[in-house]
Amino acid sequence: MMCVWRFNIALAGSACLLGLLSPAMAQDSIDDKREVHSVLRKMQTSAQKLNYSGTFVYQQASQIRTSRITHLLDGNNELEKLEILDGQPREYLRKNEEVTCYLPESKTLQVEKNATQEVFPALLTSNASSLPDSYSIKKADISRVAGIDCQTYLLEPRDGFRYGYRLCVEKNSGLLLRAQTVNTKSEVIEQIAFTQLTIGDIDKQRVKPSFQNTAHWQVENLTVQSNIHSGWVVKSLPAGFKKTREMKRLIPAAGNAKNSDGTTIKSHQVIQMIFSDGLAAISVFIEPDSESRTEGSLQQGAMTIMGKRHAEYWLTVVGEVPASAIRQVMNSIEFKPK
Amino acid sequence: MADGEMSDAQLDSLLASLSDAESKDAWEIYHQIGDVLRSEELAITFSADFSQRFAEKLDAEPVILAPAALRKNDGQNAQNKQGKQKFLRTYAAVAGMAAAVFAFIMIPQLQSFQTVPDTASKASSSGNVQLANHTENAGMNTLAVNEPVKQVAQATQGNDKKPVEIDMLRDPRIDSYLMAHQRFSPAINNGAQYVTHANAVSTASEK
Repeated sequence: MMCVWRFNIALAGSACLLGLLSPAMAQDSIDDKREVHSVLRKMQTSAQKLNYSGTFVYQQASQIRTSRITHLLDGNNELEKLEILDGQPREYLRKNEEVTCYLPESKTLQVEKNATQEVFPALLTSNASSLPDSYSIKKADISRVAGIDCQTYLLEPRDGFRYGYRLCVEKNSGLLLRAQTVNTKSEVIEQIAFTQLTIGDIDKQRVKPSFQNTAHWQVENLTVQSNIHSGWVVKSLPAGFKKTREMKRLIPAAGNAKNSDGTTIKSHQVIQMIFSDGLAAISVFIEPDSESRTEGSLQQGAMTIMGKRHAEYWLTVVGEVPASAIRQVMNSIEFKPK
Repeated sequence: MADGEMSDAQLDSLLASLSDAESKDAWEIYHQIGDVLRSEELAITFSADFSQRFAEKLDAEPVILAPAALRKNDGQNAQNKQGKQKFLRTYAAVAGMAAAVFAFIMIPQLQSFQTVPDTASKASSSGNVQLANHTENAGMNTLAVNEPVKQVAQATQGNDKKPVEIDMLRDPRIDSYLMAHQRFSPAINNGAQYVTHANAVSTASEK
């Protein structure tokens, strides 16, 4: 009896303590959540609404690639020019959802009607509001990127199906200056960061293509059909991932790449489904099998790509997620026509 | 999930994942832990295919109509005895089945009890505080429970720790898919041409 009594006191005591503490803590976390939410929203809108030009470096494992982005809001139209500065020259000119890729070497224009992926510094997708379901988001230290002060936010994954992120956001504009992808050991496995950035006051001439006289260039339309329902499904998607797009598109011929038997690889049609948890994306490509492929997977930085045969189809799954997530997606792809 | 504290998105994927054997095991283990916390008498180790066999037995079990048949035959003395016998026979069958179920629950437990009493007691002393004072039975249960839980935890922590079991997929087409997924992705395949070639040759010879 005594024992129970003492237990009750202890319980009452701790309840009292909790009662005192919890309102303050709850208030704090609600404010935090609200702030984080508005920061994420601002990050997305400022990348779309602001005028800016800058150079950024993308590092994936041992590989790096430098690009220059120029973004302009012209009335209601978003104009953007993305120049790939390393390797073979390429230029992407975007007007809202339509992207034209200029390939000067082969004098080719590749046109995509419904641009699929957001480009840095606009990393978030339409699914961004569900980010807190998949990540616990914390405000961290002040940092400095490309000579500009920025606030770091930590996004820790709630499960093993995605990586963590450290985002550094410019305080006034809300523009994302650096995004680092971290694994479970807190090692940066991939990062993308501005090395130079100018915000505001961008001349419209700068979002024009650098190449003149493209009238005789070959035009490839990569979008065959946007928004389709192919009947293919991913039965067990990793938690938090939702389908953001499904389309029929062209996978262009890869430059002068050749098959193992020496024949030139031609462009071919595939079904592409894109899934996103708001930040990380997974693409599934489905096409008729063409015999000469080797099943397997490859990892570079945060990027995992896996290829597999499925009856008479060839499946390719790509995403900046751990191999376990890619594998789960790959193993649950089914054709279920209605 | 059992407490209903889960977002829809998580629930969807979890329900889908329950068809996996591994997740099913985890589900059973979590509930067993719950049972044990309520009463140590529930500390029973199920054999591996318990659910399946139980489901089969349940399907095979005769539907008990005997009590109804008894009532129907109540007025007729001549058939009463027969009816009772019928009931007893059915009862015996059911009891036998129950005994069988009980036996195959207990046997593996008894076997493991005989073989690993030492590790079991060790496990109970180093194990969960709430289970530490229990009999060796409970200790053994923590032993049985700990292993798969650890595995599940590892599985959900992602695979970065495992040695990369990635085999090479050197296909000249890869970069096109990467680019289709993300425009500014550094190419995997655009290194010196001979690297691609060498890898293509090695994968071909491995076949």
